[in-house]
Amino acid sequence: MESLAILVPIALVLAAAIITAFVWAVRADQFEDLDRHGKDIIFDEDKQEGDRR
Amino acid sequence: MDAAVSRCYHCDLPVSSGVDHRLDLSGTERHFCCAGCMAVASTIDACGLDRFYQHREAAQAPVSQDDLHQENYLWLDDPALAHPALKRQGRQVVLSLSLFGITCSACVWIIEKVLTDRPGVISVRVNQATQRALIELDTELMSISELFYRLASLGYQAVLGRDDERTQRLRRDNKVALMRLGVAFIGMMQVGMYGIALHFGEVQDISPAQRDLMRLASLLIATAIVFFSATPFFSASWRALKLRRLVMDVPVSIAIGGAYLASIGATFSGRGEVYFDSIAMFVFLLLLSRYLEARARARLDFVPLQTLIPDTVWLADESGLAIRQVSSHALRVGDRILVEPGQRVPADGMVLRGEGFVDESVVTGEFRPVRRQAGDLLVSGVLNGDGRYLLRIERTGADSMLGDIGRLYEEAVSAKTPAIIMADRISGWFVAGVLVASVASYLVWWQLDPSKAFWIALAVLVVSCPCALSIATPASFTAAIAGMRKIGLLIRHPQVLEQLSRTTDVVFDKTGTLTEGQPQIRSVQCPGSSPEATCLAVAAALESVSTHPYARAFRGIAAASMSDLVSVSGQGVKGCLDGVEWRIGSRVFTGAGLEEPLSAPETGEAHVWLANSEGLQALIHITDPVRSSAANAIEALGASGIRVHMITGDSSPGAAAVANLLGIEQWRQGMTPDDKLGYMQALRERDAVLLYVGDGINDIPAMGVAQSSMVVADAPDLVQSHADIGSMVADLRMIPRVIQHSRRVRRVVRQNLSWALGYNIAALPLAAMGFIPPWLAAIGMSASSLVVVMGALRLTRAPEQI
Repeated sequence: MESLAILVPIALVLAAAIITAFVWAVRADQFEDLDRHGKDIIFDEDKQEGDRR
Repeated sequence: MDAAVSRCYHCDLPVSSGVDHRLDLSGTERHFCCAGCMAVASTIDACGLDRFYQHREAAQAPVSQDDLHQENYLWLDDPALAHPALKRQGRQVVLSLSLFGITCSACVWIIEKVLTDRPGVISVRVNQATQRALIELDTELMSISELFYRLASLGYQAVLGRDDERTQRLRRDNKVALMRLGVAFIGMMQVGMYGIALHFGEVQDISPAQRDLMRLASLLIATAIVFFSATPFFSASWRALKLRRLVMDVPVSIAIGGAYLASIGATFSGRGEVYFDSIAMFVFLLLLSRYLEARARARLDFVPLQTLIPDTVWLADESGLAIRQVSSHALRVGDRILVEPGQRVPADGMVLRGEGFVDESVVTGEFRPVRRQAGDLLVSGVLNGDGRYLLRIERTGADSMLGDIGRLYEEAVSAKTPAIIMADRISGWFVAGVLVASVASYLVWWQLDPSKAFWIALAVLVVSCPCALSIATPASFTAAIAGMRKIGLLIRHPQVLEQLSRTTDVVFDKTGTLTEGQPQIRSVQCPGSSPEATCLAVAAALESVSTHPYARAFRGIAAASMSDLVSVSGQGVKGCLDGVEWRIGSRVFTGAGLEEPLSAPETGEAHVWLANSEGLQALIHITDPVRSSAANAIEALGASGIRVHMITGDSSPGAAAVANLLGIEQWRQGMTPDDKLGYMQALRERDAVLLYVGDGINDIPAMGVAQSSMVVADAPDLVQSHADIGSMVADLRMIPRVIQHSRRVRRVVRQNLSWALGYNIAALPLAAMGFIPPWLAAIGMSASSLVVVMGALRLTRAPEQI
């Protein structure tokens, strides 16, 4: 069980990394409009079709 | 297609019979309710974006053709125009716009699609959630007016955004709250893993070294949670304590702080229990319910009354000649201004010249036009019908009528007794009780067994931690708000649900609330030689040039092609069809003679006369019909023991007719916004709990004084933003439904509170007697919160139909 001495610090570092990434995402307005981007994919092919006309 | 059931392809409103706007789109014939909607649909189709109609999730708002003129927006091109939403940099300009009419992501897509490829548009970002757009333009290639016009031609009305301090602060607060929530969540997952290992280790003899390692790791993460995520609780309880009040945040802070400090002690001394996992979970659950509640509220942005008045106005000289356009905010008392037909009056002013009909619904709630001429006062916000007025400004800004209405509202709201949530009332006593119990058990155990005293006192504090109690109310409200949203009800303040459940009296405005608020043709009598269809076609053609409110009743009827249309201010319209002159309007103007109406008029009905050179051809009865859902709604309210009142600015016999038809016994008419306020205050003094249902700007003060207020569907955004509850469906049955649902919410809140209190009260003596080991206390604390959350989730189901 000595591996815990390494694994626990690694877990802490990972947690810190995840929190940093999350804080960056909030600051960079990634959560500003949650309703919309999920549906962008529906319009993808339409965009090309519109361009062709 | 059957005309009776056909709906507008663009806005999905039913197309009235006799309307003929059709267009061939990609091989299919589509019907429209008006020329505005048709123009927009044809623009969208011409851009090759017709798929929009397949992908959208909600219908668009109907489009007024009046918005589709670029000249309306030319004032925006003035390089001297200064506005906080406009940032210039040489020929480039960044605009922050509020867009009206965005209903789903298809709208965002179509706006971005159409604008992005235009020369002159540097970047477009549309936010669906906030209905705002940030657009960067090169004004050499595309002027601001062209941008506004292009948006209007897609069916979206743009206004310069109000990126004021308040909205910026809200956005900042929201971001910080989200960060706190995220950190608490990630931390909770981590600490939870160590927690499981530690709880198992308790039973399976974990080695002290490993135990301490995991406790240390939990400590690190919990520190981040306590000092970052949990700060709102600490600062709120500090503020409350300074005011010598005990609120729910106080025991929450004591529990978090106490458990945190005790756990640190246990970690370093190696004796006792750690509670890091419970702290993390508690903070997360509490933050989550508060965040969701705040987000539900933030969607409903507040629109200030001043948005009603036009941005610019024509200043005139002594003789009444236009000099230049100025910002309406720069007007001073004594200035002379010109008010054109169709414009809103920007400030209170005396009419020096001009006459015609105006729509004073701002003050009275009535669409029925009022005649105003030299010497009369026109108040701000009044919609000019067909007159051309020269006004001398008497009062501006906060002194004007609109300013008054805003102030009445604010005063009424601030005088409202703050809605005291049940939990907050209980919590004061509860907090005191818990603190006394902990101290008492500490003192008692100090006598019995000093080594156990601290741990037992802590177990008392933890086991009676008010997590469940403090989550019970906000979680139920948040769930209820989500449930109501499913049927199209928007709740602005969660507290309103508690007030609503105790409603004893519902007060309705008449026009636009109990009635449709739009003039409609009820019947046509044709005593002359022309058939009804011809009469209607002629009437529609004549009324198409009129700005009189009754002209709205003729919108959507296929018009005959007529020439020489002349609108005679305050009288009517005349025009020629195949060389014959037709006149529509008052009895005198049409020359229809002074004969009485052909049949006894229904009370509250208006008449429009149509005549040609052969004499009277048609008498058109125009009425404001009662909403079809009104009778059901009022019956349902009566059945649940709620008194119904009607107060209206209308002073015509029509008010009595509506009250009789719906069986409303208590009603008043001819009331100003001030009178309405007084009526409501009198009711409140008799301990009535009021729900006010209205739709107009004149209703805003009354909305403020009622414990809760509601608007039904098509009210202007401005009014909606002042009401506690908005309904996106124009159905008055929503009112009994929302009251019934609020009663269910109150039941669930009660259940939740009694469960949480029961748990705490049962566990507390056990802990004080030393029967509950701290680890069990920690599990109980988390489990009781989860039970409460589950209880609240029952409310997310949509309320039942009535």
